[in-house]
Order: sequence, then C-alpha cells, then structure tokens
Amino acid sequence: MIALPEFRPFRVLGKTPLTERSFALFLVPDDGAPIAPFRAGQWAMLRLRNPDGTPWGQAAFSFVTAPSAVMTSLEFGIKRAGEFTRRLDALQVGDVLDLRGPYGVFTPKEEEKELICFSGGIGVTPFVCMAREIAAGGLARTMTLMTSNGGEYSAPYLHELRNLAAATPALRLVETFSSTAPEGWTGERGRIDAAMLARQFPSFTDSEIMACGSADFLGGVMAALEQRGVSADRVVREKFF
Amino acid sequence: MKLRLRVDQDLCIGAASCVTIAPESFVMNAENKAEVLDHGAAQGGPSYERIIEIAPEELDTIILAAQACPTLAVIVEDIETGEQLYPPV
Repeated sequence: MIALPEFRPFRVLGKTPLTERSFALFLVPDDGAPIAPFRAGQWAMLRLRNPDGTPWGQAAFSFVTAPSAVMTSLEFGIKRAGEFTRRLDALQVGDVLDLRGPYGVFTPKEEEKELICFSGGIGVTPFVCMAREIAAGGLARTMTLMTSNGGEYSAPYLHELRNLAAATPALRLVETFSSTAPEGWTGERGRIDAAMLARQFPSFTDSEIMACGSADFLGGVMAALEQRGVSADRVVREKFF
Repeated sequence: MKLRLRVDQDLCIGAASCVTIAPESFVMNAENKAEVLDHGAAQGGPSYERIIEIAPEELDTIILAAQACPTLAVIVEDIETGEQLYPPV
C-alpha cells in the first residue's frame, strides 16, 4: 500500500525578506512528528486556515531546505503574488497552517550527466535546494545554474548562490540581468537567448537540463535551447505562476 | 468497462501522485504534467485524455490515483453510464 501524504499542522518559526517582493518562510511541525523525507526539487502543498480552523485555500511551494540538512524546520521561498501569498506573508510567528507533501518529480535523475538548470526569478527555489544539497554532500552532481533576474536586488537567494558556488567546485553560477545589471557588471545582460547559451555552454550533449520560471521565461529558454539544437523533450520544465 | 481518463493540464502541477499509484495509466512529460496511458502504452502519441477499456478490478487503482491528486486534476468518467466517477460532481 502506498502511503499518501496527509495534511499536517506546521507552525511559523519565522520569516525573513529575500527581496522587496519575496520572503523566506520557516516552518516547524506542530504535531511533534518528524519532517517527512523529500528530495531536492520536490514541493509541498501549504494550506491556510480560516479563523474557525476550516481550510481557506492551498498552493504549492518548492522546498528550499537541503534534504540532508533538515533538522527541525523547513524553508520555502515565496514571492508575493496574489491573495494566498499576501496571507502567507501576514502570518505571525507561532501561527499554524497545514502542510502536505512531499510531491513532485522535478528532481535530478540522470546521475552520470552534468546538471544544467535555468531559473527565472523566484523559479530559482528548487535549484537553490539542489545547490544546497550538492554543497552539503547529499547530491553527487556537477551543476551549472543560470539565473535570470530583473536586477540584483530583485534576485532571490542570489548572494547565497554566489557564496555556494565560490565554495563548491561542483557548482557553477551564471547570472544574467534582464533590466538592471549591477554597477560594473561584466557578465551577461538581457534575457537568455541562443547567443548567450553559445557563450556559456559549449555543449548540451552530456547534460540533464531543467528549467523553472514563468511561462514567459520558459518560452524564451525553450526557444533559445531549440536554436542550440536541444529538443524540447530533453528539457524538464516546472512552470511557476 | 470503458473509462474516459483525463488530466486537466491547467490544474496539473506535477505532483506525480497518479504516476506513483497507477504507472500503467499515467506518465509525467517534460512539462512536468501527467499524461494518460492505456495499460502502459501511448498509442497515437502523448495525450492528456484517453478512452481505455479496463477490467473491473483495475478501477480501484485508477480511482485511488485520481483521489491522490492534490489539485483534483485527474477526471475519471464511466463512458457506458456517463457517470463521472471522480471527482464527485
């Protein structure tokens, strides 16, 4: 019999700002039971309650905590975009919500290949989880993560990723800024396109390719990859809303 | 019995619970959405909807797969009676 995830109560341990429009939410189990094991790239369903305890609504968020580093809390990176995330942001320390998971198969699979990942904005969260897991020694992969953000200050987890990449030989970070690059920036600028891919990736032959972001972002990445000879069925995509 | 098995691609967010429970009936594609299989086969190409003939004892697994979806994206209909078996209407 397959055990399906059930909703469990989790308590808000804290929140920290990531950017002007996004924040990290930290949750701990409120039922005394341990956190269920998950893999980097998976996600959980968070369900908010009405004041009377009945469910108000639910939405899916990727785990950001590295699976092998989970002790007592879970981290989710959340962009404020709509009523659900506004209510999430309004939660106070000690408030309780419900969590069900893990779910999903947006996880690295082809162990022998280099992992090449593309993220747009808050779509970076599953890759932060993978990068942390590689840095923690829980995922034996070589990973190149190409992030696309409007600017440095609207880029969730960017500083952490820079630090992880600097300290972890198996991690390479490529950044592009579509509207405002940092002062003195000599790296990539603009949206990801075929010329940028040609500069940054000599080949996609022996690689496992994943992409996460908005529909618009994914459309651009897929078009650029196609121009570089990568067929769509080789790119595992997760669309963030 | 004949079923119309459908995955609402707008609702599907890649939980893959259906694939875990009924791998003969569902498979994930590169867009991280579930497609429908007919006993492990994708005759005619990938599809989010198929009419499949099943033995009565196969129904429980398919219904369980549909129930496991956290967004109710799997719709199961009995073609012969016209009844939507899941989600309940």
